[in-house]
Amino acid sequence: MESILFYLFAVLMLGSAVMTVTSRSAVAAAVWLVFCFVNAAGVFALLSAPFLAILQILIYAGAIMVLFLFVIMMLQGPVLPDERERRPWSRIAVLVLPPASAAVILIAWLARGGVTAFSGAQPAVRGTAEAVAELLLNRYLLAFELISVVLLVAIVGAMALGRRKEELPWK
Amino acid sequence: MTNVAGMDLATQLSALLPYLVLAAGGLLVMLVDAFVKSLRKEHLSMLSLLVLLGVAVANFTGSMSLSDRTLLGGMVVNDQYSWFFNMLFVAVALLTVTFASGLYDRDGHYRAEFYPLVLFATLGMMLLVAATDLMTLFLALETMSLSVYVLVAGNRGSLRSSEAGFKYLIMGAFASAFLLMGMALLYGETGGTSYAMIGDTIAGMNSASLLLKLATGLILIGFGFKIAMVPFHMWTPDVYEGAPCYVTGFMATGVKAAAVAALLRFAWLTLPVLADVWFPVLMVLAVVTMTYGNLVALSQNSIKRMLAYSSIAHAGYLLMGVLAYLQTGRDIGVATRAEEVGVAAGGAVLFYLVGYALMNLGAFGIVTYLSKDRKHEADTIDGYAGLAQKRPVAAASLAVFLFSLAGIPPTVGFVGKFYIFDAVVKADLLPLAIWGVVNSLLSVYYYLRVIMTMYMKPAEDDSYSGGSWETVFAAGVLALMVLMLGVMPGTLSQLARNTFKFMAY
Repeated sequence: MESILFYLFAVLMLGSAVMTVTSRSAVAAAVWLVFCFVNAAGVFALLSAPFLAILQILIYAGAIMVLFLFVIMMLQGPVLPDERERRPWSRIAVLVLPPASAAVILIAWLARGGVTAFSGAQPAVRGTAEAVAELLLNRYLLAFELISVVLLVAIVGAMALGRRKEELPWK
Repeated sequence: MTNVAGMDLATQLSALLPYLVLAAGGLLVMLVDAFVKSLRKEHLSMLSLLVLLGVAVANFTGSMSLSDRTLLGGMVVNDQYSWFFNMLFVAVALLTVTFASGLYDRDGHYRAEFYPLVLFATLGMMLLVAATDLMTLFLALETMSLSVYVLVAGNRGSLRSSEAGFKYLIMGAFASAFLLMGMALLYGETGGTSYAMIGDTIAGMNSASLLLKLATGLILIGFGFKIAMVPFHMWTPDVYEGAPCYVTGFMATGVKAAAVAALLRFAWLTLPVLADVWFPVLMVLAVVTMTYGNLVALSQNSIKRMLAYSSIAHAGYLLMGVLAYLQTGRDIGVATRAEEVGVAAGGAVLFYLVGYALMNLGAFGIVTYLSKDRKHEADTIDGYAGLAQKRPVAAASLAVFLFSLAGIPPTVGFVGKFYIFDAVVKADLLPLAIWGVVNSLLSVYYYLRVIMTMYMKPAEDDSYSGGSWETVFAAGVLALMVLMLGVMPGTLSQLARNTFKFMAY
């Protein structure tokens, strides 16, 4: 039962990821991405990490994607015209990339004889909020702090590059 | 106080002092810039220099006991290897800040974000080398990369700089995705993210499984991108040319050294089982990388592009050292004297990274010195005509750096190449060493062309002339160091060999 659910989520996730990058309209791509995130949450739930699954839906599928959609609709990104006839490259990419990623999964599957053999990926603790907090502030303390530096750098960088020219201090 | 994996937190944090000082220093610089109104533009660079000196002191005093200390439950390690590279990165950052502030002074305005971003990028490099967990490795890499993406695009108003930043960001994100996919597969195969766990699992295997090979290949792509290895080098010329020249120097030396050092630690981890897998791939890539870099560099008219292709070629030389080390893990004749050859190879790579940082940073320092402002950089080689009469010290220093890059004695570049080729010969790879020598000879042409232009051609009206004294002073000191290490390489080479020996054996 678990492996059936896993493959269901995995196939839906990959399919919606492909749809995200191939959609002609930015809004449709964003909605496909939401669907992709929901399936990822399903995989987390199967890995007995309910807290992560809920966070995935609340934060990624919920908050972040809503912001995404707001920005897309505010900028009113146009639906891309169908350039497939003039751009053989994109067609080749669409034809080649999904089979390639499918091949990677197949190799992984063949090499280990099924999903259940990924014994390493089984979490040592149940993925509850308590367990996550315990890990974040103990074992992954450094990673936790380092992420805040990464985010700070991203914010500073976005500010530095996004400022309008007339607001630059040195114009 | 909380316990993290046995040791109490205070002890562990004191061992992490260099990183804490650097992170706090970056924040301090940002806050000072935001809240101190009566700030003159030199103050921020002075403050950044002080922070970096503080890191150097913390690193020096903190690691006097050079035992192998795993910290925070195996996330980072505090060993002589990380100590060695911390010193190198602090030196690179110090010089970058000096060069940049010299140009900002002449320019009449400064960028507040520049200094904190350099500090955070340095933090990323230091942690990248100290990481003993895939989690730390990836986050450190992202800290470094994100800061550098912004620094590359730092020349606002220049289309080239924006293009370079954008290109580097997109390609870098792609490379990160490969690296992450490789890490996920490695985790799936070994069941852990810590190096200790991965190493134990791999050592217990008889042969490399298909999944493990795939994982290593993907991780190699991630590292190969950062060290500008062919065929993951496409971004290099455009990004090196578009970035402000002091940032290019920072990237070419700091980022490359960090990636090579992390790659070497990773190669050590997977050595017994995967050496046979890595070897043929890296062999081909090393040969292609140095040949391609040197051949294309021959026809460049922009000095930054020339140095970019030369940087690709130097990545090839460094990979030769890595190859000699990998050879010791293969089940062939070399395995009987594995430690001797391995220490020679690893020590040679470490020595070369230091030497390369000195000479390349020096060369970019002179380019910075000659640039009028951020929009008019001293980029075309023809503009260097007659520099020997106009600015004799700058011309002589640049000549020393270029001789060193070409590998002509008595410079550190020659000694570094000698150690690498020596290790390669010791590892029974004579044809590779010969190919390396042929490549070095090839490279002499394009380095000498710049020197000829400086010394043989008369100055023209639009030839470049100099700028701030501290830049040329720093470059002059670097030139002296390049010469000094070329004559007396003993101490540094001994330190490099010992450092590698402690890490790997």
